[in-house]
Amino acid sequence: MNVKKENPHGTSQYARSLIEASLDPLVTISPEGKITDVNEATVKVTGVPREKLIGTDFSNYFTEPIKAREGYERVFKEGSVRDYPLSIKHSTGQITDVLYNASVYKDDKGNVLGVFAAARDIAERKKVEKQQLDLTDATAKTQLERTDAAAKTQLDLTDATAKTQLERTDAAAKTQLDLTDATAKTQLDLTDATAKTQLDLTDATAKTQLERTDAAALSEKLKGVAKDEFSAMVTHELHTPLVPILVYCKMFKTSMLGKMNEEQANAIKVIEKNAKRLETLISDIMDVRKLDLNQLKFKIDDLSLDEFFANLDSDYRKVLENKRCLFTTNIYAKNLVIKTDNLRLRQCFDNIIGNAIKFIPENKGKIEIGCMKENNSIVFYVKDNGIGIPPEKQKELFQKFYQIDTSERRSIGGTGLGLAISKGIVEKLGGTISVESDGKTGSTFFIQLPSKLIM
Amino acid sequence: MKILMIDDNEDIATAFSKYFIYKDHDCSVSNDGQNALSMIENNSFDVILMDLAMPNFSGYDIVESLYNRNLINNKLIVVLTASSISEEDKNDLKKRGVHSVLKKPIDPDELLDYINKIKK
Repeated sequence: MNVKKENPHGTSQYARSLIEASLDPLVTISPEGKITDVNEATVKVTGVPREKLIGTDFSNYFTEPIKAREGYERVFKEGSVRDYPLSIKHSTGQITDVLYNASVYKDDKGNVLGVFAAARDIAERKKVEKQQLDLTDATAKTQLERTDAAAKTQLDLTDATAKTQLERTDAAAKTQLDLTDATAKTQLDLTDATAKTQLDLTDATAKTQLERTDAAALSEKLKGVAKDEFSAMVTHELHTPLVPILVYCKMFKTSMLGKMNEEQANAIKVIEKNAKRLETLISDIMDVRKLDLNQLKFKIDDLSLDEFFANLDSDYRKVLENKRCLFTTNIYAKNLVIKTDNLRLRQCFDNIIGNAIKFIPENKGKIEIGCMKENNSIVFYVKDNGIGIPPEKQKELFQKFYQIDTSERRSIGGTGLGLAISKGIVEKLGGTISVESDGKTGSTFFIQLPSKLIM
Repeated sequence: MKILMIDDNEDIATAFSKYFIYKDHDCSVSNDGQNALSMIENNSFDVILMDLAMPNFSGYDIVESLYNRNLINNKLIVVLTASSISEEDKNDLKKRGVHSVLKKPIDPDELLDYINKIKK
């Protein structure tokens, strides 16, 4: 007898109704990683209809598909996993952080049919932990509600969302009754492991249902989701159209698409310059946003200062010499290795040097970069002979979208975010950023990183 | 050099392939993950430039499929993505045999220089 063929989802009618009763997203997965069954909650959290979910790859619906795959592979290998963190991706881009509990289920001959996986919303779970006391009481109350049906709960639930949840509570209660009736009959279908998971789930469902009556908390959560969705959308959707624009600009510039007259060539230069500016602006806005939300990620590693400055020197030397700018690098603290985020520190230097380049005098500019050890901290500096920054403007300089607005300076352009981002990064790295200038003859920017970072 | 450019955005794929062809490279294009996978299986490319976010069959799916069948080791795959990708995902891709993950937009000349550098 081919069990799989006769019962393609590997789930009994009983299991089906139990799955459907849960407000948590539940799925069953075949050994090939394809979804064989889902409940309504999964449909809701993915935004994909049930019939479209079934038969597709389970990992498709997560922000980290490879991690999702590793998760269910582990279930097949070890029999079960608990609290496996993943983020479910809604078709609109909304992201829900969940913890997965999953175990294999088998036919009566002990052959593994698939994986039964239940997701628990992390935000919800955190609240569960916080309200442990309430819940001990509430769990008992829920037991009552299950037999006592809906009338009592109706009072607590006023809005439409709550009503839907009530229906769910009904369904759960019904299933609960079915469960007692059908226990003996269904025992055959279910291995011990599956039964245990399902019990956990029923408990979890009850807890979650209580919490979800708290509409305010729910809307708060949705706001958080919307933020993530926005960030992801901005980065991907706004960068994408710039890709072909910039490639075609390059083709025009190199006469790949035919020789252009001077006016046409200038027009392409303007298009390219502005597309690039937009690219920087998008990245900068994303960084500012991440800094504001405390989501900017840092990767702290050993960094050789000699190497750091050698890279800066080789990357900027040619550009600056073409501009007839005298460029010097002075490492007063040689052979030092510090613990910091190489790319983020470099980003600060790029911002500061980028500004310096904009303001140095044509053909007689001077830029000096370097570092020194000072009272057990490392001081990095970028010194230029540009137009300087008046003392009264120096504080505002690190604010978002700040540009000293004389027409001369405005015309130079920039996103007005570079120094604000640099300040944010340096502070996250535990340091400080500052500027010295008399407002006439150049300026020097300092980044000071604390001594505990020095190896 | 024989290049495969995989991107569901036709404008992106066409723009890069035109550029590469102009620079005397042999460049094939695929706008669909599943189709790209069979192209990879049936041809040998010097480098595969691959988008990640594609409907139905993503760049992750391509990597996973090749990895699971032990077909990835002799291939040079460079991911080009317009998204900000987490370190974790990046490492996962590299663990499975992707050479590197680059951000779009990228200058096509810089990309070619980079490929020449990593191609032994």
